[in-house]
Amino acid sequence: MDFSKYVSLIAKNNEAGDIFYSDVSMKSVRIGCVEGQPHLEDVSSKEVSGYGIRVIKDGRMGFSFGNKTDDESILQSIEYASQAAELGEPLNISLPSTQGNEVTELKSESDINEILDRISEIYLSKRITKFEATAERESSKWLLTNTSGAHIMSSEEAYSVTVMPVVSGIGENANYWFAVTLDPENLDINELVLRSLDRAYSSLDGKGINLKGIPVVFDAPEWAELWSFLLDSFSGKNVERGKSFFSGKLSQRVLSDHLSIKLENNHPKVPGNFLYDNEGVNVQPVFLVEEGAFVQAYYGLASAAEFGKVPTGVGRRFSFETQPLDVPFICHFQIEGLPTLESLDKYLLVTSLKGIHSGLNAVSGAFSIGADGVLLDGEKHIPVSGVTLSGNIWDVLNQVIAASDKEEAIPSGSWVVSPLVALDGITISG
Amino acid sequence: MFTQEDLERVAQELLTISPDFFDIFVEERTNKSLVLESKKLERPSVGTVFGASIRAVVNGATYFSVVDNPSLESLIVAAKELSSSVKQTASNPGNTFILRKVESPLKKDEWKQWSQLSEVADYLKATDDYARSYDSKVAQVSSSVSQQISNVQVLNSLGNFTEEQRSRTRVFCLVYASDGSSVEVGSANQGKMGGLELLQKYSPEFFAASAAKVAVSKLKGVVAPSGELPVILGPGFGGVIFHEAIGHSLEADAIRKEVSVMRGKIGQRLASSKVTLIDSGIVPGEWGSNAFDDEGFPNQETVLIKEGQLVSYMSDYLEHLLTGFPHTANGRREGYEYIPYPRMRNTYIQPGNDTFEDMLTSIKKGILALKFGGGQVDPVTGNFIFGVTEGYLIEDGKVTAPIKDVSMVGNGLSILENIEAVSSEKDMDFMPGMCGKEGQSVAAGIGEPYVKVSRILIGGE
Repeated sequence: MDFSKYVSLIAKNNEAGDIFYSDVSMKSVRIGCVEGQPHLEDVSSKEVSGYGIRVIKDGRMGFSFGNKTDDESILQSIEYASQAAELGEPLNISLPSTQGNEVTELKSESDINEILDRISEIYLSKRITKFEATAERESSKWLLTNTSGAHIMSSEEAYSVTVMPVVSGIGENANYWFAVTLDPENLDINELVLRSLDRAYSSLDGKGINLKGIPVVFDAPEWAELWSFLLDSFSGKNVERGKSFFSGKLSQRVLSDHLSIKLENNHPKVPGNFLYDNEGVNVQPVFLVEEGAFVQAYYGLASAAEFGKVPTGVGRRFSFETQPLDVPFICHFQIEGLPTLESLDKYLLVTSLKGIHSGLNAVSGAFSIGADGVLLDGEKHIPVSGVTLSGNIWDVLNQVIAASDKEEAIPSGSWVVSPLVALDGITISG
Repeated sequence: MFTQEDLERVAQELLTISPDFFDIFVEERTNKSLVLESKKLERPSVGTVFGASIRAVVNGATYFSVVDNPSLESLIVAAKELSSSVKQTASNPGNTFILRKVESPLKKDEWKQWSQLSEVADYLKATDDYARSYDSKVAQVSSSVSQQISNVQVLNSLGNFTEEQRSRTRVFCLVYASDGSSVEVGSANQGKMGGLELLQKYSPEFFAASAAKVAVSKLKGVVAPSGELPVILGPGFGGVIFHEAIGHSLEADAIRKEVSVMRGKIGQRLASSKVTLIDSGIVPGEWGSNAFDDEGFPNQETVLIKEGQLVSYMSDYLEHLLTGFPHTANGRREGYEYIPYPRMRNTYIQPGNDTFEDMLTSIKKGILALKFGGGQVDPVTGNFIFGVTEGYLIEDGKVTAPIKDVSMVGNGLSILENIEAVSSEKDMDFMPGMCGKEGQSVAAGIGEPYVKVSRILIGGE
C-alpha cells in the first residue's frame, strides 16, 4: 500500500499526521491429546490488515482507523481523525523524519504439522497422555509514513510453539513452555517438552506451607509476567503525573545496587531487531535503573512532547486499531556482583502465578499474589501449591541476593531478558 | 454487509466437503473512545473495520479462515480454499440446506446514538471535577467512555441466518488518593448493552464519588486479618468469583479436554438448595447479552446449578457435536478474526430469601467484599485467587473499617459448598467485565445479590 498521497493531503490541510499500516498473516495448527489419543483441534489461517491515522491540528492529536483501502474510506478516516483532533489537548509534537527498512528473516522453514507430530511422539514416549500443543508461523509487515517525510518499512517473520502437558500424581497439574524462533528446523523440541514437564511436575500434589526467610526465585515466564505489570512504573507519563512509585525519585537509589535495567533495541536472545518504534522514532538503548539508581523514564512521542523530554522509542502499536502506547521493546535486567543460585541452601522456585493483575499495586508496591512452585532444598524437591506471596515489591527488589549465570528472553508485552533472580523479603503463606 | 443469498452462495462451496458443521460470520465493527486524564482530554479515537470468517468442522477438527474487508468474490475464494485444504471429498456433494431467518427471544431495545466524540467531553470533565472536589487527598483522576457497535451476520450449516446490531457502552473512573506517604486507588465502572443513555442513568457524581470514596477510605484502611473468615460477597461484582471459579470449569471444551474439576459431576449436589447459578444471554440490556450467539443460534438462558445441583455445562454447537452435551448457545468470539468457543454471557446467582442484615449479624469477625480487581483460576483443580479492591471488616455484626487490598484464595467447589445465604431480588445487581480465554476477550456480565460464604482464606497480614 502507498499512503503518500494521503499523507500529502493531511499536510495540504496545514495539518501534521502519520499513517501506520500493518498486515499480519498467520497460520496456526493446534493438536490436543486425551487418553493418549492425539487429535487435530484446529487449523487457522488469517491475514488481517488495516491502517491507523493520526492527525495533528494545532498541536492536538486525533486518531482513526479502518481496513477498507478504497479512497473514500481512507479519506473518511482522515476526516474522523481530524474531527477527533479538535478534542485533544495541544502538545508540541514534532514528528520524526526517519527513513529506513527493518527486515527480520527466517533462517529456515519447517512444516508446523511435523513439529506438532514430533511433540506428540515425545510426550507419548514419556507416557504423558494429556496435552495440547500449538505451532504458528506468523509474518507481519508494517509501514509508517508521516508529514515530516518519515518512511519506515518493517518486515518480520517467526515461528512460535507452545506446549502444555497435564501430568498426574494423586491429582493433576498443568503448565506450559514455549519457543519463538527464526530457525524452526533447529528448534530443540526435546528441550521444549522437558521444560514444560519440569514446570508441570514442579508443583504437582504440592501443599501450602508457611515459609519465612526463604529466598524466592521466579521462573522466567513468571518474572516476565511480574514485570509486565511493573514496567509501566518507568513510563514518563506515570512518573510525571505522580502515578508511579518512581515519581520524584529521579537519581535516587531505589533498588538493589546490584541491579541495572536497560532498554535495548536488540539482544542475541531476542529474534529480530527493533531499530524503529511504531511512531518512527529510533529505539534508544537507555538505562532506566543503573546500579540501583533510577536514572531515566521512557517516553513516546506524545508523552515526550507533554513533558518536554526526548522520546526514547517506545511507541508501540499492538494493532492498527489502537493508538501507540508507551511500551519498551526489550527490557534487559543486568545483575552484577552477586553469587549464583547454586550458592543458596534453599529457595522457592515459582512456576505459576495467580491473581497478579489484581494482587499487585505497582504504585505502592504492595502485593499479595497466589503462587505454585517447588522448594529446592539441597537434593530435596518439595512441591508447593496454593501459597500466597506477599510483601512490597520495591522493597523486595532492594534485596536481590543471587542470580543465575544464564539469561532467558520471554515475550510479555516487552521482551524481558534476565537471569533468574533470587529475592529476599517475600512472605510465603499457605 | 451481505445479503442472505450472498452468504448462501458462499455456503455452497463449503457443502462440497460435507462438513459436520460450518458457519460464515460477517462483522462491521465500530469503536469510539475518549479519555480524560490529568484534566486533559486524551486519545480521542474512532474507527471501523469490516471482515468475515469461515469455519468448517470436519471429523471434529476446526478449519478456520479469515477474510479481511471481504467482497462476495473473496469470500467464495476463501471458502473454496478452505474446502480444498480439508482434503475430504463429500460423499454426497451438492448437499443443500433449508435457509431460515431465526428469531431471538431477546427483543431489540432503542438506544441513544453517540454521533460526535465531543458529546461525552463535558460528562468526563464533570466526573473529573466531582472526584477532585470529593476530598483534598484526591491526587489524580482518569475517566473514559467507550463504545463498540458491531453489526453481525451469521449463516450456519443448519440453515440459520441471523442479523443483529450489538452496541455496548462503558464508563470507567479511576481515582488515585494520596496522603503524602501512600497512594491508594479506587475505581468505578458500569457498562450495558445500548448507547449514551448509560450516561443519563449513571451521573458523573455517581462514578466520581464511588471511586473517590474507595481511594480515600483505603488510605486509612487496615490490613485484613489473614486466615479463614466468613465473607459476604457484594452485589454485582461478587459474581466474578462464580464466573471465574465455577463458570470456566463448566465450559464444555474444558470438560471434553479433561481439564476441569467439574468433569463427571452433572447431577451431583455441589451446594445448598439456596444456590442457583444461571448463565443467560438474554437478560435485557445487560453487558453480556446478545440476540444470537456467534454461531448463528438464538440466545438463551441456561441454568447451570439448580438449587445446589449441577444440571448443565455451557456448550457451543461444536462441543455439542463432539460430546453430546446439550447445546446451550454459548458459542462466542471476540470478533470476526477469531474462532468461537464456549463462553459465558451474563453469569449470576439467582436471588434468594435471606437478608443482608441477617448475614451481618451472624458474623463475629469477617469481611464484606464489595469490589474485586479480577482473579484467576486453575480449571484443572478449581483453585482460585481474587483481589479484593473494596472491602470492609465485619466485627460483631457491624461493618467497621475499610481494608487495604487483599487476596482471597480458595477452591470453586469449596466456595459452593460453603454458601450459607443468598439475599433477595432488591439487592440484585449486574456488572460488566471482559472475559479472557484462548487469547480472546469478550464482554461478559456478572451478577448476584449479597452472598454469604462461611469461610474463605484471606491472605492478609
